[in-house]
Amino acid sequence: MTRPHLKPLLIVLSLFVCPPALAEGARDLFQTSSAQIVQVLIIEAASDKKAAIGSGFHVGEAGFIATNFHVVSEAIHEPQRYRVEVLDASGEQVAAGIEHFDVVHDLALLRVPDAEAKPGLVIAEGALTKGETLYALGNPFDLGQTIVPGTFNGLLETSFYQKLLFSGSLNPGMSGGPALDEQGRVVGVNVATSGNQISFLVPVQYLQALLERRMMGDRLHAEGYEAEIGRQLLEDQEYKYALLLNLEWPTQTLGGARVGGDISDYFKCWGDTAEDDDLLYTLTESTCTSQDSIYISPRFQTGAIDYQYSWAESDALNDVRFSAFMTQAMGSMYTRNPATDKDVTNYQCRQAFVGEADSAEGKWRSVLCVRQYLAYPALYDVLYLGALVGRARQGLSSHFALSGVTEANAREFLDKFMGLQAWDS
Amino acid sequence: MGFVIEITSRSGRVDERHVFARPTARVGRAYDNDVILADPYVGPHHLQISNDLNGLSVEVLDAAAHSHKGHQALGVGRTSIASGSELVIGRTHLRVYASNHPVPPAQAFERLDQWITAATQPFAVAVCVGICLLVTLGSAYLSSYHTLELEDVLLGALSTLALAGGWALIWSLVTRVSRGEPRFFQHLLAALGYVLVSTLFDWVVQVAAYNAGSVGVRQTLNYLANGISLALLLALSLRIAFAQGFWVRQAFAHGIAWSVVAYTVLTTMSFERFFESAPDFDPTIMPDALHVAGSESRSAFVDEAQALFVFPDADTDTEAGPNELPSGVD
Repeated sequence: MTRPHLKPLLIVLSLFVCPPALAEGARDLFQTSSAQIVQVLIIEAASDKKAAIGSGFHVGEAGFIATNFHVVSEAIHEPQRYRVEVLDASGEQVAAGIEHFDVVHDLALLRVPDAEAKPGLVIAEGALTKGETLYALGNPFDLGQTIVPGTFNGLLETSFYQKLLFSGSLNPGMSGGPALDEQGRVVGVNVATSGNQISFLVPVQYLQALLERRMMGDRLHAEGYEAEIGRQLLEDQEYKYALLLNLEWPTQTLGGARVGGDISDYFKCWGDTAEDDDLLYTLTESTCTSQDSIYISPRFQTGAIDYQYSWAESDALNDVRFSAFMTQAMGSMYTRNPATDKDVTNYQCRQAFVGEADSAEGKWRSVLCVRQYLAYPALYDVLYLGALVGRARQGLSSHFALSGVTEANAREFLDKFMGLQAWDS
Repeated sequence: MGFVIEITSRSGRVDERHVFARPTARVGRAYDNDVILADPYVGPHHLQISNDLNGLSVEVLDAAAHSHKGHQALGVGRTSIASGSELVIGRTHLRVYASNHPVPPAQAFERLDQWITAATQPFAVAVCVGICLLVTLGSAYLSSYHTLELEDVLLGALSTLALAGGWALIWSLVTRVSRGEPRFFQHLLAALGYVLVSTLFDWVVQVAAYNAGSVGVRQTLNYLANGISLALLLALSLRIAFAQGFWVRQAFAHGIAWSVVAYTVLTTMSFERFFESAPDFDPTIMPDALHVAGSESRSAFVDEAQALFVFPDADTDTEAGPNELPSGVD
């Protein structure tokens, strides 16, 4: 006699039981690799207690320990206040120095001074196959070493900085730990999670490049950390904006206006229309955001590019009331960089009317605001907000926010962005 | 020869007036005096005032009691005084006039007072309240882009009127003390005028700021508009509350009003600009018909943007700029 009601229960139960091969693989990998995994501790000098934790791993033959930039960022920004220590599988905790880092790809190299070079994990070569089983190792929540199986689900294509999509659970404290293939070779570095088994790994080629740079003698000292961050940010934004500004930016129609379309796959674009019987206007919005931001410190993230268009029209409002609505629509703009006065200046803004009402491009009420990075003075956060005015009860507002951009790139972006938009006659 | 004794307040307001046709009158606490005072610091038979062939004089009868003419202490005996002299006995202020003391001609109402008096007729006040209500409602309507609930808008307008009424009530209490009459409607009129002027200024500032395109201009205009309308209200309220005719009081009224406003404007404008995570700009959009300022080309806007990237006061704390080689590289 069949019992159909038990079938779903069995299916659910089967999800909680690891396939024997997977469990065996994890056990073997853990046994062979755990000696190379360390916990990275950031020790606050005054209290002599840990202020942050993460993971790391010995890599290559030269005794380097790889981890994430964001794990050791406090020691990079305030080396007098914080120091780095590593705790290995045997329970030995020793001080480590920061040898180099890649702020853009969130990597750092550590080394224990005067320690005997310990053979590290081997870096994998060749491309991964989608669906391949990977194992992430680390120290989640300071609970001890853990191995987490998961699946490689391809490269994150819509990103300036490649990342591996790992369908497994990364938890706080595992950042900087390795992700291994079934042969125990490093294929990525744990870096971020969006929850629900959606996690991200830094591809191993960036770690390889960093190691090669360090092996060629390029070693940092504490006094050069900030300058190196600035240099890397500058180099990265030059690459990124050269790529963007050389693209042909498409246009599209939004309401009665012509606006910029999806510039590239690096942006995720969303749209919505507020249209309700209670509303006296129609508002159609299109928002595009870049998927990356570069972590500098908990209160300072840069590198994001966002742009937005809002088309508004109304039959029910008179000119004055429609203007009040547009005023509200122009009301605020901001970047995703939560920087404070320790990191950036106040904004300087300039407002002007641009263009003529009877021209094809229309007349714009434009605002441009700029603030400078204190530690990296060639870089700025730049905000633009424009309202296309001059027609009764119709209007467009357009906005962009650039984080960590040079003056030249910002102005070129501004010119190109403003040139796209016009009344759609 | 007759004379008049006025009992006044410390500020000079006449509380009692005693007219004598005979040449002498005695002042004190005792009930057989011609002027009986209830001041415990005054002697039972304190002094005697005479107006005879020798003119006006005062004779202190009680040596122990306190008697002054201006700042001069009066001893026992007779002292000549001029018509209009002020005496202080105990804590009571007296003013003594000869019967033939010249009286200045009647003071004419100033034009502003005439207007205020005319406008404080019940019908005129009702019209002013109506206008104020309409302007407040109209302003709320034009500033809104949602479906308006009449109830909410009315409530807003009535709150404004209630505030004006509150202002008038407080000032009428002050006026009741200083002038003996509340003049509530005059104060209400002043407060309604303030509501109208500040609403009008608000729209003027919006149009000016839209054309100027600068947060600084908008803030300055706002401070000025608020300052001027508040100063006018204060000056008017003080003028209504205190008796006119003395330039000292005029200066007092205007001095207080404009000092308060100047203090407010200066302290507001001298605020240190703190760090703001969002930019400060003026988002005002107005109908195109109200745009009278010029426009610039896109290339000019992009060129002018250059100046925004100069931060002379930036506290850049790195010695090596990002374009330079990091000093820690070996």
